[in-house]
Amino acid sequence: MPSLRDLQKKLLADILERNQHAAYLNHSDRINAYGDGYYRRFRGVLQNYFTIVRWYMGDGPFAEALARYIPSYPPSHPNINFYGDDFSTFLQDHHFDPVLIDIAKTQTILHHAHLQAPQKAFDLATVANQPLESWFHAKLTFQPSMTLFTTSYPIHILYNAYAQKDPPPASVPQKTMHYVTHRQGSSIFFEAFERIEYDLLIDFLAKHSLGQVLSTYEDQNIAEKLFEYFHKWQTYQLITGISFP
Amino acid sequence: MIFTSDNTNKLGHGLGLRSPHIDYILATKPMVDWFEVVTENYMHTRGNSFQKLMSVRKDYPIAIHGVSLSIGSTDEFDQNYLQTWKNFIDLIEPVMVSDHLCWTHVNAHHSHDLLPLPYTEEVIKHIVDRIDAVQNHIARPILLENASTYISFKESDLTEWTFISEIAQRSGCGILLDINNIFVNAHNHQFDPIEYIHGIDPHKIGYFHLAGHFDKGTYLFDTHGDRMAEQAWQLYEKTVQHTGLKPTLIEWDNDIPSFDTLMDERSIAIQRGQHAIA
Ligand SMILES: [Fe+2]
Repeated sequence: MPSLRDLQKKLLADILERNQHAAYLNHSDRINAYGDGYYRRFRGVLQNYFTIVRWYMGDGPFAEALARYIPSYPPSHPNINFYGDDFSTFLQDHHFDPVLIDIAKTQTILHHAHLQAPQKAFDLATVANQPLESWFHAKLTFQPSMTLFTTSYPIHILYNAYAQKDPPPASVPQKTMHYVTHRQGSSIFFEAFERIEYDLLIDFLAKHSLGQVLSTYEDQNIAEKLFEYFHKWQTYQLITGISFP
Repeated sequence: MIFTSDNTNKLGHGLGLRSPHIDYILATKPMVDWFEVVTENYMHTRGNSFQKLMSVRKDYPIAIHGVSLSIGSTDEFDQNYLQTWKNFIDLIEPVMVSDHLCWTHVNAHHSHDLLPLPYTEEVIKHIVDRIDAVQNHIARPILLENASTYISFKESDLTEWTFISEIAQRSGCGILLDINNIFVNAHNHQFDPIEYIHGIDPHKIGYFHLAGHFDKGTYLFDTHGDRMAEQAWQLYEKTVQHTGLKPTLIEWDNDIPSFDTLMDERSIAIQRGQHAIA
């Protein structure tokens, strides 16, 4: 008698191959009830996940890409909602248009930012009376959904075009972008940031104190700008806390 | 750990909570006794959907119904999944915790489908051990649902109802009895659904699922995308005559209709249940 494990390995293989003549099964001609479902389910998840990739690619090429992705990337996560996290890697490995790879990466980052708990934004006014010297050791905490990422193309332009229901542009100029995600109510947006501002956020995220950050950027006269940035980050609800050890 | 229906028997009639309806539910607080959510739609997030669930939870009992526990799998348990699940249970404090009597993955390849098991003594033992581990991990009994199947293993030497009853009896878990799935399987595998119902100990039943299916010609396919078929309602009535009234849930996952349609289907369930015991 075959072990349960052997039967499970055989059944999954037969489902994927749509083998209608498996001798260990009754009604093996119905195997497609599972086989069709397998591909339909994952196509559905990816269509919902990669709306903008699909818009940019067109329905036909997108369907073709899924038909290649699904057999080559067996789902490894117990939650089907994460199927698609490897899609940008797949596009990269198969030398798809680099714009598509950037869109897929962006969609994946936003997908994950959505999963983070919203936290109350910090009110800078509450620390207005902190003694000046204590600011040197101040450290910032940020909205858990805040994600910093770079792309080689201005993806936000494509997002805007998609939102306007425009057709995808014929070409997209290459340009290195530094993006930061931010939360507005129940939505996650991403914004292009200046390189220096982006780098500052990375340093603060790495738990560098205000003093350390100021010394890192000593020659760039950052102190004044930093004040401006703090207020901007506050309006984006990025800062959730400032600690003064 | 032993499931007993005594604490939950009076729960009443619930609906599957689906994202298109959540804002409406939060705004209007409809007269629904409880809601069931698909565990995996919430357990890996603390974002907006989770926050909304926490709001719904303030007004309604919540049951969580999983699809990826894979109790019948021969892979080792995914400890990450179990811990995330437990954390979620601790936050939601659901009235009932369930998944399916099936397997979903082998060699960590997740089919995300509820795949059938051979009905044998060896498999019963395997699953009872795994239920024991799971129930100890979350420190409460679970319920397992009978799944729809389209194929069966020639190796099976037990009926589906003996298989599920024995597992519930030996492991202490409860049964989430899906009436539509019994109807679908009775048709697909040519058995008497009444014999199935009478083979289940009513005290083991936590609640009923009611859902729609689709006739594919040579077999019935479980879609969760329609109202209950009349013959399935008749089976529901006969089941209630055997078990007495039990918590009952309308399950609708595909082609999700208006909330009013779900409420209407729920009213029918109440009427058919009352009719059964009259
Ligand atoms: Fe069900």
